[in-house]
Amino acid sequence: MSPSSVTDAAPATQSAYPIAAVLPWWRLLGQLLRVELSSQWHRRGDVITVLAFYFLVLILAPLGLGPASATLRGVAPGLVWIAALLSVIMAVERGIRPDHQDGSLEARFFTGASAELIMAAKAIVLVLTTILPLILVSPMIFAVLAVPASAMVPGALAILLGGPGLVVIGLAGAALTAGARQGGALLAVLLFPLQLPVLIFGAAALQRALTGEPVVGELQILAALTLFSLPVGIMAGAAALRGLIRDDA
Amino acid sequence: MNDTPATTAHDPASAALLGGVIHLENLVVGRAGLPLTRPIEARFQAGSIWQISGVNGSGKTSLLRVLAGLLPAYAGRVTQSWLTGQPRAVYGFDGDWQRQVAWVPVTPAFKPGPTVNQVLALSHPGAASHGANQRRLAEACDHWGLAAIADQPVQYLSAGQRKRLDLARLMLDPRPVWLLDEPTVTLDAQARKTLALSLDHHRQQGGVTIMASHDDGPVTRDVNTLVLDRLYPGDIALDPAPGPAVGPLSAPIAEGDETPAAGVAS
Repeated sequence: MSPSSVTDAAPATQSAYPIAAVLPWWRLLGQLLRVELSSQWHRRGDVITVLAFYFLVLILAPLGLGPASATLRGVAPGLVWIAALLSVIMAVERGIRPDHQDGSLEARFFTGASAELIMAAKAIVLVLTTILPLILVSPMIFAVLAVPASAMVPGALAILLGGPGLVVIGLAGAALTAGARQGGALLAVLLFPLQLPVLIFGAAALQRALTGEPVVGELQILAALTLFSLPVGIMAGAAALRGLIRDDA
Repeated sequence: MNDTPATTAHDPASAALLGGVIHLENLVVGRAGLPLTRPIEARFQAGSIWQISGVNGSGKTSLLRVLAGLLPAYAGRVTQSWLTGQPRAVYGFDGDWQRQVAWVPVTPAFKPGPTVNQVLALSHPGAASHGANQRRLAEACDHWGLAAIADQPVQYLSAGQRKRLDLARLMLDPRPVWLLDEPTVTLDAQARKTLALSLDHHRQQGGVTIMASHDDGPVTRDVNTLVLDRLYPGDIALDPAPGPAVGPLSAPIAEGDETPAAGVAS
């Protein structure tokens, strides 16, 4: 469709200059995803840094804690989730602050998208570039931490269900603190209490999987936390985004 | 005069019918909770070019941000009739309005990494693989003298080249309303001519351009001027009709408006 076609909403306008078509939200989302993904691709070093951080923390665990399987298995649930949480905090900060500083965040509003849609696109792309790699490397991580194969699937599932919640809450916090000079430290302090439930139930899921107990309850709670965080985080993040743009006049 | 079906081409009302009009109704631009200007009353017609000038800190960029819907007005309001022909307030991140606006900030928002071609392709709303789009992309490159550096990553461009790239995007994603913040800064003489051509073309097509500028002379012919004067706190003056090229900005455009800043409703 031609970008300069007149919108259906205004057929009677005697506009000499064709006004740009107001796109439906899914096409806007597609456009935003394209921009966001390309920007992530050109900053793939950042994505790799976050993944390397997660990987290194967990690879170093057996070296620091000793190779005894029982010890590793005991700390694995907490360790995996703490590393995931910190990785997400690193990732979300890189998701908003640079865009705000170089002006590409405000430029994104001129696609015609709402702040909510911009946040949603960012959340989708961050889940793809942060949570998905964590899941992909998890078999290796679990093997290093002496987690038996039977617990790997529930463990990865927990990350899949809880991870998007972490990202969305994190993005809202990042939008809130992107204007502050010491935003990084502030972000960590702000996010810890909000992301704590995901951390607790995520670790609990893996813990129970290790002892062979059913993990359905924990997984359900993780899914519920994520489902709750998605709208709340996107709304809050969008409000923070608008405030951010308004304030840097 | 709003809805008079005028027949003469030069009547402002007829221009309003042909395209849209952006109406500043006693607009006070403020920043950080403080007013920067006195109430501004102005109508930016379709098919005109406006230059907003004023000393540093007089609120030029903030005015553009208000017009773009990025910043709420301190007082008064802005309406536009581009979308439906009816005046509609520009307020708070209205996506339908922002879709009509081409926003060119002082500092182009480029991330290191992509090449000139990739930036242009991405700013193009259609699929870049399409043949016609490729041609338009090449045209924009040629027009702005970017063809030779089309495959260079943007971080290696000079400030002027970046600016040209940012302006070249205007050709690929047609928008009726151009808001340009200091478009001539860092441009060389050749690029200024290109900019003038672009502005003229945009005007002929019925678009409106509003640009903040410190330039002494207008960038092209028939530029209207809106001066934001900070010497007398927020003293505003308007050049009402699209007249001949304006002179130096120090020209006495303000007419006898010596009364001290009348109460800005706060």
